[in-house]
Amino acid sequence: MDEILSAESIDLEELKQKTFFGCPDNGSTRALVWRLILSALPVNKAEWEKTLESQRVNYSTFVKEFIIRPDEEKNSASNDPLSNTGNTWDEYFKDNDLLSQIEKDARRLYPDISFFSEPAKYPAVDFIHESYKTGMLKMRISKRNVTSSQSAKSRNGTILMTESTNGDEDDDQECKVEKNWEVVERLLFVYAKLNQGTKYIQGMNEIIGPIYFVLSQDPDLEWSRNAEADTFYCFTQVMSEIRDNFIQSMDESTSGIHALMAQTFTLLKKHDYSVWQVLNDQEIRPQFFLFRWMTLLLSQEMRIPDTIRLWDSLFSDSRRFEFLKYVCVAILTLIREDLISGDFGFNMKLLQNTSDVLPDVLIIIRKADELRQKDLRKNSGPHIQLLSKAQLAHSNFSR
Amino acid sequence: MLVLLVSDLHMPERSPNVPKKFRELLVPGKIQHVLCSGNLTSRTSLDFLRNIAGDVHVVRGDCDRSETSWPDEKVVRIGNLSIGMIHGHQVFPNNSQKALEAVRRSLQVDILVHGSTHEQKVDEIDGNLFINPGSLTGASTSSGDKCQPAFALLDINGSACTLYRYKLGSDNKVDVQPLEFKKRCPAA
Amino acid sequence: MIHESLLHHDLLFKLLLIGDSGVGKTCVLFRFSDDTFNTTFISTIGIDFKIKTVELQGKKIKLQIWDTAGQERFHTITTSYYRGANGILLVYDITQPKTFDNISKWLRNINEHASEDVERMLIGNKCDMEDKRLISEERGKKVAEENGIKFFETSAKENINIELAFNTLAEDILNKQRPIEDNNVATGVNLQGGNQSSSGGPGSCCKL
Repeated sequence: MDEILSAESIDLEELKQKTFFGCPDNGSTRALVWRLILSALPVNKAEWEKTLESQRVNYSTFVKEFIIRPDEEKNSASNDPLSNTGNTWDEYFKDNDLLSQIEKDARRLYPDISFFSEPAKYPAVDFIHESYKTGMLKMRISKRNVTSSQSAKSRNGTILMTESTNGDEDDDQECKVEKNWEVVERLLFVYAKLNQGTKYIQGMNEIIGPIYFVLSQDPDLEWSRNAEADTFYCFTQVMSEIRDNFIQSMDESTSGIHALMAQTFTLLKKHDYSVWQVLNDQEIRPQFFLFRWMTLLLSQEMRIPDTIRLWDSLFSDSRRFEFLKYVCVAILTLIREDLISGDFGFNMKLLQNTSDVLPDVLIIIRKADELRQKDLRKNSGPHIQLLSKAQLAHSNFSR
Repeated sequence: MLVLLVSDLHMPERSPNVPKKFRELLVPGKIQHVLCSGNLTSRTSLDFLRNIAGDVHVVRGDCDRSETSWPDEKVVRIGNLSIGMIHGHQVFPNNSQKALEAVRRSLQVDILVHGSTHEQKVDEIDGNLFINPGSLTGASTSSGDKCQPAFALLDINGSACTLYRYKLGSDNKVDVQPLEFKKRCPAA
Repeated sequence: MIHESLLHHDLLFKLLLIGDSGVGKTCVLFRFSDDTFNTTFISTIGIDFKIKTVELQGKKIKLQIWDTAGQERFHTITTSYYRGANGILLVYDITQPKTFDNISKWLRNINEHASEDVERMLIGNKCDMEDKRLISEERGKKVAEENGIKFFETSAKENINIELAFNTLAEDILNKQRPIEDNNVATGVNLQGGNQSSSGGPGSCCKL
C-alpha cells in the first residue's frame, strides 16, 4: 500500500483493491486513504496543496458564515430580539432549534468509548477565526451553563447559604475546553445549514463519528490539525452517496432505503434460502433490523474498531455501497444456525443486538466477498469484460 | 444567550394578566433563563414564567407568601457575568442607590437585579449595572399608584451583554431601548 | 372449561412506544424489561424491540414491546407498526413543553394508523425532575381525560410507575378481550400449539 501511495499520481483503482483488505491500524495510512478513496483528496499529489487549502478555507468560511456572522450581526443590530418580524434573531432562534436536535445526539455519540468526551486536540479557536469563542454553539442552547448560590434569613436571623450547579459537575470546565463531540456538533450544524434539503437527520452523527475519529487521531500533526475541515469533505462525499437513505420522501424511490432493503432480502433468498424462509415465515420484515444496519453502514452493530475496518472495505467498493448488501447477507448466513432454531422473539433480539454474537469482522468481510464473487462469476463475469470493451469503444467513439 | 428579567407581577390580585402585547413577545423557544426579583404572589405567575424558559430563578418579595421556599437573595452566574437578585423591600432607605450598592458589594456581583418600586430603572454606576425591570403586569403599587408594564432582557456573550428595556406605552405600543454593557476587566 | 385451558396458554400482546425524540422512550423500556437505567443511550434509529413476560389474573402474558424513533423522518417507517398493536404508550417529557404540545399530533397518528380498538395510554416521563418540571400533572391528566385514555407520570430513572403503567395497559387489553373469551372464542395468539406461522410480527397480533 505504501508503494501505491508513494506514486506521484496515485492509482485509485489499485488503492481501492488494496484497501478492501484493510488499512494498517497504526500510522497515518488510513486517514490518508479514506480522503483519497472518498475523493476528498485528488489522486495527483501535485494538486494536494491547492485543493486542501481551498477546502479548508472554504470550511472555515462556512463556520464564519453560519456561526460567527449571525452572532455578530445580532449583537450589532440593535433590533428587538423578541419581535417576530423576520429579523436576524428569527434565523438565530430557528438555528437554535436545529442545534438542540444535533446536540442531543452529538452528546450521546459512542458512550462506550471516551474519545468523544475528551478535549479536542485542535479546537476551533486555533484554526478558524479569532472571534470563534469556545463553547459558542453549546452556550447558545445549553441550560447547563448556570451556577447559582442563594441565601435566606431564617427566623432566628442566621443566614443559610446553598449553592447549586445546573447540570454536570464539570460544567465550569466544560465551557472552557472544547470536546470532540462539540467538533462533531459543529460539523453537523454546518452540514445542515449547507444542505437545507436534508438538514439534520438522526443517524448522521453515527456516520460522521467514525470518520472524524480516524482523521483526528492521525499521528501526523500536519494532517490531524485539519481533521475537522477534512472530515467535513469526507462526510459530504459519503452523504452524497447515501443521503437518499436519510430522506423520507425518497423512501419509496428506487434509490431509497426500502428498495435497498428489498434488494438485500432478495440477495438473501438467493444465497441462503432457509434463513430467508425463516424470516419470511416469522414475518420479520427487513425494516425491523436492516433499516438501522444499512442507514448507519452497520456502525451501531459493532464496536468502533470493527466499524472502521469494515468501512475500509465499504468505502473501497467501486460500486459504492453495493458491497453493503453482501455484508448484511453475510452476517445473516453466519448466524444462520441461531436464526433457524430461534422463534420470533429470539430472532428479533438477535438481529437487534448483533454485537455480542457476531464473528470477527474479517470473517464477515471474507464471507461477503465470497458471496459477491460467486454472483460475479455466475452472472456477469464475461459480461463485465464485454461491457468494459463496449464502454471503451463508446468513449473512443465520442471523442 | 437571552435572559429575561421581570419583577412584581402581583397576579392576580392587582393585575389579572400579563398584557397581551407582552404575551405575544414572551413565547417559548427563545429565552434560556428567567430571573424574577419577587412578588409573583401566585402559582399562575410562576407557571407563566416557566412556560417561557425551563430555567427560572426567583427571590422572595414582601407579598410572596412566607411558605414559598424562595431565598431572599440569589446570585446567578451566566457566562462570565455574575448577577445578584434581591426584591428590594429589605433595602433601606428603599431604592436608594447607596443601599443598593452595598447589597451589590456584599453579593460581589457585576449586575444587581431588584424590584419593589414597579418602576423600570437602569443605572450603570462605576462599571456595574443596576436593573429594576419594573412590573411585568403593570400592577399598581402598594400605595395604589398606576404603573407602566415593563420588563428587561439581557443578551449575554461571555463578559459582555446587551440590555433591552421593554415598556408598554399608553398607546399600547411596545417601546424597546437597547443598552450595551461590558464588564470591567478585573485588572483595570 | 375454556378458562382452565387458557390458564396454561400464553397470550401475546403487542405494545408500541411512541413520542418525540429524547423523551426517554428507550429508558422507559429498559427500566421495564431489564430494570436498568442508563443516561447514555444512543438515539434509536428505526425501531427497537424487547420482550417481557408478565403474569396477570393468573395468565402468562408475553409483551412484545416496540420502541420507535421519535424524529419526524422515521414516521413512515414507524407508523407501519401501528396496525398490529394492541396497546400504544404515548410518551412526553414533563420538562419539555414541545413534547407535550405534540401529543395531539401523535394521537392523530394513532387514529390514522392503528386499529380502532387499540388501548392507548399517556405517559409523562422524567417526573423525578421536579425542579425542571414545566408541565403540571393536572395538564397531563386533562389531556388524557379529554381523549378518554389513562395517564401516568413516570420516572425511568427513579423507577416510578413504570411497571404499573405497563401492567395497567396489559390488564386493560386483557379485560377488553374478556367478553369475547366468554363466548368461547380463544383470544390472543396461542404460542404453544397450533398456528405456527402467526407467532409474531405486525398484523398477526391477537386477532387470529
